[in-house]
Amino acid sequence: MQTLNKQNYKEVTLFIVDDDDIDAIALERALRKLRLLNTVYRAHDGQEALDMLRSGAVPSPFIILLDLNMPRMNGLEFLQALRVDSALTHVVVFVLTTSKSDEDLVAAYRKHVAGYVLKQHMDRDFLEVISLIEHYWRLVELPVTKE
Amino acid sequence: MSDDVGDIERANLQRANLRFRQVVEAAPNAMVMVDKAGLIEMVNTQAEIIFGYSRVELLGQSIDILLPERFRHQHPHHRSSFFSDLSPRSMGAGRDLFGRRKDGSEFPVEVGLNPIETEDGIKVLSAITDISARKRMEERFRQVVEAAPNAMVMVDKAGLIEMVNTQTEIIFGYSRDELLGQSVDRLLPERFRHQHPHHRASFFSDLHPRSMGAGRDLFGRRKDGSEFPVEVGLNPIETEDGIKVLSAITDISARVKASERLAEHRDELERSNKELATFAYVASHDLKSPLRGIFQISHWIEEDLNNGETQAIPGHMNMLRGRLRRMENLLDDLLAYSRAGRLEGGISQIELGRLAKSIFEMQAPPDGFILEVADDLPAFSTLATPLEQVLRNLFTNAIKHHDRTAGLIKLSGSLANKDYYEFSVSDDGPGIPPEYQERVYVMFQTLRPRDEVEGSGMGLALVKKIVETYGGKTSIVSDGKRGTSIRFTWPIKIEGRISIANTE
Repeated sequence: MQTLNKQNYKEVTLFIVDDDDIDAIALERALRKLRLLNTVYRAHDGQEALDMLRSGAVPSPFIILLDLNMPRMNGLEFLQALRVDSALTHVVVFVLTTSKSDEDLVAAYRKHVAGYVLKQHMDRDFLEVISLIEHYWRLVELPVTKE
Repeated sequence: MSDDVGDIERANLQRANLRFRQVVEAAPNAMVMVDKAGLIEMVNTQAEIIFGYSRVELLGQSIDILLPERFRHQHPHHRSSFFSDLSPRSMGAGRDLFGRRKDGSEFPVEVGLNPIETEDGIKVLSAITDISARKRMEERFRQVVEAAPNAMVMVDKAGLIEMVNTQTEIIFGYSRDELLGQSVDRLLPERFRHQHPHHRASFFSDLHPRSMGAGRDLFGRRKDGSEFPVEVGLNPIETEDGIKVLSAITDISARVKASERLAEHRDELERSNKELATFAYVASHDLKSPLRGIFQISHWIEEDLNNGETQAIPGHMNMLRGRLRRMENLLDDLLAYSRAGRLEGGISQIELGRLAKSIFEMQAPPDGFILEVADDLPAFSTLATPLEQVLRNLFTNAIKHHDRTAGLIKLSGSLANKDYYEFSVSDDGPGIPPEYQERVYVMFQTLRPRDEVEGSGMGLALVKKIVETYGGKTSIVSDGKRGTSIRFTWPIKIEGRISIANTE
C-alpha cells in the first residue's frame, strides 16, 4: 500500500548508485554547498543497490541517482530488475551518466526514469543537478512505501 | 463347267494379286519381296526411291545388291535360318543394319520380315525403313550430352547406366566402360544406396523434370571412395525402349567452399563491426570518465584553495594522479587489444612449463603466491608472444582478484583433440559467479569498482580475442564460491593458423 505524505519533503533520501568515488564526493560537496542535510546512501553497482533496497537499508522516501556503466549489474539491468519488482516498481530514478548513446537514453526512458542527465552538462560539479532535484522533491509528491 | 470355275478362280486370284500389289505399292516404306533363293520378285516405288535403282534393275536380281558388300557373305545363312522358322520378325535384333544405294553409299535401315505364302511357294516380304534421320537425331542427342558442361548420366528404370559423357568420367574418376551397364548406385556414397531404388521408383511414378533431393545435401562418390557435394537435375526421356532418366550432375564443391568462405568472412566482419561499436561506446564512456574526474578534482582543488581549506588537497592530488594512471592503463590495454591477433614475433620452440614460470616471476607476485606447473606440459614450437600474453593476463587476474594474502595458481594442460591442446589456469581465489561469467569477457567490464581494484577490464577480453584468433576457445569453470579455472585451447601446429590470422 502506498500513502502520500505532504510533510516529508525535507526527509527525502538521496541514493546514489555509481562505481566512481568522484561522483559520490561531488554529490556530498554539492549538498554541503547548498546547505542541504539530506541523507545520502551509496551503492557501487546495480546488484548492491538492489540488495540494499530489498533489505530496507534505504529509508523511504528516496530518489535514486543512477549511473549506467557499472560492474556486475549495470544501470539498465538495475532498472529492469526494479520495474518488475512490485515493491520497487514505483521508485523515482534519475539517470546520471556519461553515455550520450541514443540506445541508452531510449532504454532508460522506457524504464520510466524521471530524467536522463549527462554528467558532461553538469557545469563544474553536481550543483546544478542537485538544485534541480531539490526543486523536484520540494514540488513533487513522492510515493512512500508503507512498511 | 470346270473351265468356268477355273476362270472364276483365276480371275479372283488375279484380283487378289492386284490388290496385294496395290497395298505393297501404297506402303510408306520400301517393300521388297524375295524368294527362297534371295532373288527379288517385287519392289515398290519407295524401294526405288531409297535405293536409287529402277524397278527393272532390281527384279530378278539377288537381294544382296541392296546390302553393303561386307555383309553379303552372311546373308544366305541368315536367310535360310529365317526360312527354317517362319514368323514375322524384325531383322538383325541388336545389330546395326545398313542398306546400300546404287551409287554405293550406305544408310542405316530397320527391316521387318514377313513370310508370305504364294502359289510358287514361300516368299519373304521385307519392309525397309531408312532410319538416317532418327540416327542423326540420336547422334545429335549424344553430342549434346557429350558437350554438356556437367556430368550427364542416363539410366533405365532398373537404375542401370546406359550412357555417360566425358565429364562423368572426369568428375567420378571412372572410365566409360566401367560405368555402362552398371547400377548407378556406384556413383553414390554407400550410406545413401538403400534409399535410392525407392526414390527412383517415385520419380518414375511422377514423370517431370525436377532437381533431386530438394532440401537435402547430395553427395557423389568417386572411384577412389572420396565424396563430394553435388546438385542433380533429373529429366525423363522417352525412347523407343521405354522411359529413361537423364541426370545432369554438377560438382558443387567449389561453390560450397566459396559459400563457406563467404560465411566465414561475414562472421569475421560481424565480429569486427561489433567490436568497433563496442569500442566507440567504450571510448565515449570508459575513457571519458577518468577525464571527467580529473576535470572535477581540479575544480575542487581550486575551490578549496580559494576558501583556504587546504587539508583535503593532498588527497585530491592523489586521486588526480590515480585517474591519470587509470587513463594511461586504459589506453595501453586498448592498444594491446586492438593489436591482439595480428602476428607478433615469430615461431619459436618453447617449453611451456619453463615459459610460464618466467612469466610468473616477471609479474613480481606478492609473497605467498605460488605458481605450480604440471609435469606433463608440452614443449612445442608456436608463436610465443601471443601465448605469453594470454598467460600473463591470466596470472595477473588470478593474483589481482585474489581475496587472500596467499594463493596457489596452477597451470595444467592436456590434448583437447588432434589439433589443439587445452591449457587451464586455476586459482583458489573468490571465484566468478556463473551469472557474471559471460560479462567478464566484455571489453572494460569489471566485477568490482575500479576505485576498489584498479583494472582496465581488458584482461579476459584480450585473452579471448587472442585465443580465438588462432581458432581456439576459452571457458570459465567456477562455482562462484572458491576458485576459478580459465581454460583455453591452443593449436598444436600454429603454422596452419598464421595465414588466417594475417588476413585480418
